[in-house]
Amino acid sequence: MKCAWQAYLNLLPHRIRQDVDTLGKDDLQELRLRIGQPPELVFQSTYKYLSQETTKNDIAFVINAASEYSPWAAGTVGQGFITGQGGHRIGICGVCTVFDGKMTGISQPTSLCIRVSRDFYGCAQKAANIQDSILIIGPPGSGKTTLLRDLIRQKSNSGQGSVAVIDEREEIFPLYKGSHCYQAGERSDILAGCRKADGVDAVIRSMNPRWIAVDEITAQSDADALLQAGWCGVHLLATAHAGSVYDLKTRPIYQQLIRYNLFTNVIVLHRDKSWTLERI
Amino acid sequence: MIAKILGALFVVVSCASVGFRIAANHRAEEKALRNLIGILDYMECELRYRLTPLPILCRRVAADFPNIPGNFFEILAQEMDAQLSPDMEACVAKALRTSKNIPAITKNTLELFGKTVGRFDMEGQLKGLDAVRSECKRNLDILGSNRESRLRSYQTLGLCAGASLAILLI
Repeated sequence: MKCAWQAYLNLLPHRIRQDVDTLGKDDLQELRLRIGQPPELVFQSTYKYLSQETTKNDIAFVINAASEYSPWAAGTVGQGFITGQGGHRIGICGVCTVFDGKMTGISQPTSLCIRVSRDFYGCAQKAANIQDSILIIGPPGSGKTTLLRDLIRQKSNSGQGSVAVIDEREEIFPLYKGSHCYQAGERSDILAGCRKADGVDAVIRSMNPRWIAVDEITAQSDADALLQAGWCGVHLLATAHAGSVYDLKTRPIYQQLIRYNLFTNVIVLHRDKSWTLERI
Repeated sequence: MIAKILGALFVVVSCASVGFRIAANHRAEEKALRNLIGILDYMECELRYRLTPLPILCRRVAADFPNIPGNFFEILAQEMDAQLSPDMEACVAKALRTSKNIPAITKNTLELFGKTVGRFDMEGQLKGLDAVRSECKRNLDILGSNRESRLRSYQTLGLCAGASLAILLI
C-alpha cells in the first residue's frame, strides 16, 4: 500500500497534524471537519474524535493549503470539491454562490471531508486478463478509483496495448512535487485536468490508445463521451456510482451505456472493499 | 556670530528638508500606486488566461516589477509557501508587517488587495482585482489634484518655517 501521507498532513491545520498522524497513518479513510464540532477521523469500521473544536480558520486553512491559496484556479469548487497534492480529494459544503443559475463556488464553507488517497498494488490482478471494456461500480468510498488505478497499471504492464487515462480530477495518478505519486504503468499516457469529453476526443485522435480509462461517470456528457469512444475500436475502463447492477440499470445516465452493450463486464465493489465480477 | 549664522543655516536646512521629504513621499506614493496598477493588470492576465497559482504569480511579479518597495510580493510568496496562515488576508497582513518602506496609501491599498484575492470563483477574483485597481486610481486622482502647487507649498512651507525659526532663535 502506498500513500502520499506527508502531502495529506500538509493539508491539515498545524494544531491537529500530530494527532492525525499518530491515530490515522495506517488506516484513516477520511477526516471530517465541521465548524464548531471536533474533527472526526473515519476508519473502515469505526471513528474517533479529536478534542479541539474546528474553527472557520481551520476550514479556510485546508482549502487554501490544497489550492495554494488559489481555490478559483482549481476550477472544481463549483462542483463542491478540490483535489489537493497527492490526490487527496476534499469535499466542501457550505453556502454556495450561484451565477446564471449555475453553482460557481462556495462563499462560506462550513464542513469538509478530506479523503485519503491510497494505492493498493495488485488489487485488480484478477481482472487484468479481461479483454473487453470494464465498468467498476460501487457506493461512495468503496475504492473504485483505487481499483481502476491498479487495473490501468495491470493492463499497461501486461502487454495489452497502451492505456490513455483521462484524469479529470487528477485523482487517479496525482502529482506531488512534480512527479506522479503512484506508478502508472509502462504504457500509460495520462491527460490530466481536462473534461472527459474533451480528453476522450483528444486521445482518440492523437494517442492511438488500445484502452481509455476514465473515473466517475456522473454526467450525461461523460456518458456521451464514452459512447463516442466505444465505437472507435477502443476498449474502456470506467467507474460509476451504483450499489449494484440493478442500481446501474435503473439510473438513466447509465441505461444508454448498457443498451448499446458498451460494458458487458461489471466489477461490483462492496463496502468491505471486496469485489465480484458480473456479466450483463 | 559665525556660530549663530551656522546654527540658523542648520535650522533652515532641517526644516526645509522636512518639506522636501513630504514632497518626495508624495511622489513615491504616486509611483508605487502606478506600479501597483501595472501589477494588477499583469495579474489579471495571468489569472484569466493561465490560472497561475498565487505563490508563483507573486514570485513572477516580484521579479518583473521590482519597483514595489519592501520586496512585498517576494515576502508574500514566501508566506504562502510556508502555509502558516489560514487565508490570503492573513498572508498579506504578515507580508505587510515584514516589508519595509511601503508608502502609507499603497499599504492601505495592499490591505484591500489581501481582502479580495483568494476567492473561490474566477469572476469574483477578477472583480476583486478590479476593486483594488479602482482604489488605486481614486487615490492617484486625490494625489494628483493640484499636485504641482501642493508639492511646491510643502517645500516653501519647510523653507519658511526654517527661516522664521532661525529669526526667532537669533
